[in-house]
Amino acid sequence: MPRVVIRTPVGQILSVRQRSEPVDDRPSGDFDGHQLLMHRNAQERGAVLTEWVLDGLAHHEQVIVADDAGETHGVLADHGVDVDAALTSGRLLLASPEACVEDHRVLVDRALDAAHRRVRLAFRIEFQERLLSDREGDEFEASLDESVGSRPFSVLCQCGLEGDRPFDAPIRRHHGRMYSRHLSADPGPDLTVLRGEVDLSNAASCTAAVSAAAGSCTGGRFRIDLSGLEFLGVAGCRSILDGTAEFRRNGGSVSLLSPTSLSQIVLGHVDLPASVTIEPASW
Amino acid sequence: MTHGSYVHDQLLYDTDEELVAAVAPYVAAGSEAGETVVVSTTAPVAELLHRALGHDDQVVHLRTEDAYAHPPRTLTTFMQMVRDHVRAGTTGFRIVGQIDWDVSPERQREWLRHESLVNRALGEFAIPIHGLCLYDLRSVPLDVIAAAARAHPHHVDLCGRRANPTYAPPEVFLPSVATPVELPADPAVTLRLREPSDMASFRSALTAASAESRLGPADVDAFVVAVFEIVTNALLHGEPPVDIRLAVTDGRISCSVTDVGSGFDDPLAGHLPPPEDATGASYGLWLARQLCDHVTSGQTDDGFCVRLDLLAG
Repeated sequence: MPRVVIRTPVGQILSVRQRSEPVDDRPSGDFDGHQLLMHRNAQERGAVLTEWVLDGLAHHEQVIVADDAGETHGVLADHGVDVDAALTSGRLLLASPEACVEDHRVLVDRALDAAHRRVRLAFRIEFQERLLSDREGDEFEASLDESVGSRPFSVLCQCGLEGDRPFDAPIRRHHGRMYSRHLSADPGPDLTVLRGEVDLSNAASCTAAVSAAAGSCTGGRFRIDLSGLEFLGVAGCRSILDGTAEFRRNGGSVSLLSPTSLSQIVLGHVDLPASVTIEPASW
Repeated sequence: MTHGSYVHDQLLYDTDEELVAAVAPYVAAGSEAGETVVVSTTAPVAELLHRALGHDDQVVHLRTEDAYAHPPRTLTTFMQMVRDHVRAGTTGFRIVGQIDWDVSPERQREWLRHESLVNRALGEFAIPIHGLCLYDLRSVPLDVIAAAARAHPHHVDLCGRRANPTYAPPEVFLPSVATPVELPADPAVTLRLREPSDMASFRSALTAASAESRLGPADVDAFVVAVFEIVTNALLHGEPPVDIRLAVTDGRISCSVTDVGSGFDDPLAGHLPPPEDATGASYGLWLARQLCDHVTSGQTDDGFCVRLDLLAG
């Protein structure tokens, strides 16, 4: 199945996606695949979750939200979603986190049997932390990967950045693919794409994303496309170096592709190790 | 008296003949010894030296306006030049330098700091390095000559070369030529940041306000990067809240970043390139000095403040 991924940070998605009427029944591009949303607070999560639900409803998908104590109803209603109508129509399903982790495939296949052409699931990492061991968490995320690859199915995992919640494991389980208010990381087999802005506020999650992506790199050269990175400070530059440190220690090299003029300001001043090269945009 | 392997002399002269008599043998000695020799002077001085010495492939000539355009960047460039030549196998390095002192008092202080910092910057190489700085008594202001004298471990004049008893090492010299920090007047933007997540929204405000100046897009980008490194330092190493004041005039953009922490008291902070594995505040401050025309810092009534200025043109 071809995978279409988030192309812009969340804020930009929200600013350009204003559809209120169903457009067609094709799968949505922006929310396809197995995504990890890193959110700073409940408000940010609620806004994206609402966008995600509306997008699924607009595309006639079965929308499943793992829900704890009816919390989702209020979140969606606060953002203007007619939750009762969606629930009554059967296109929105609030499922218990336990049912999701026990076997999400039952829920997905049941929806597909009920003639839904596609299914999407929203799941919070904190449920996973509460219900599953580390090993089980790995297995659960791997099973979601498998389902996304074998069914008309997509997943939006959500990880809060509040407090000291560790986020290395969620990012690793998503192979470095993540997006947040100001940064998205999109690892591919040959190229990892960073978009948005990297500064002190998100340098740690950038390090985790780059590290996970570099860990999956099978060749000797790890390539990062920086053309969509609108801001790169010293903290961001350090995060890339830190995220690739182990890969480089093992003999790998890193290519930073097409940095913007603003990113080049920092890259040009930081004393990059010999294992890291910059490849300007070629026309 | 030397600092590390760097021998740093101030040449005082008031005739062309005195200049040539001191510099020509200095350059020739370096060339004959197989050292790398770099001569950075104004065109008239270059012409005088060329007439005296003839052409020498071993001598690299640079123009003052190129080599001495921006004090922090000049220091970085000299260090890189020496590093490159050391890697290429040079056994010695000799620099003749002539700064253009016909600049603003602000810039004069920057160059005085450069004259002091070069003792430390070039004092850490394994090869012997000699520097001879040209001070023309006919044109360089006397107060500059007097201040710069304290940054040179040796003086050279008609009477010969001698150790300078008033020499002050950088950690002593720099505070003596520090520029007091002042908050920018009539700020177009004032903001208070409490945590790193506030930074992105500030960035767009800063970029928009900076674009109102006569600075080109590349300069605006550089200023934004510099300000953000200082804000990052304030949030990471200082104490929030962090207050920002940004003032834009036609030819200058100024930004102060103030936090309520105690700041830093190392007079050399951010003046020298940080080591390769540096992760602390020194990297951001050093980068800001590279990108801006003036960086001042110190305690104010509101807390510790770093002010950045970038001039158009």
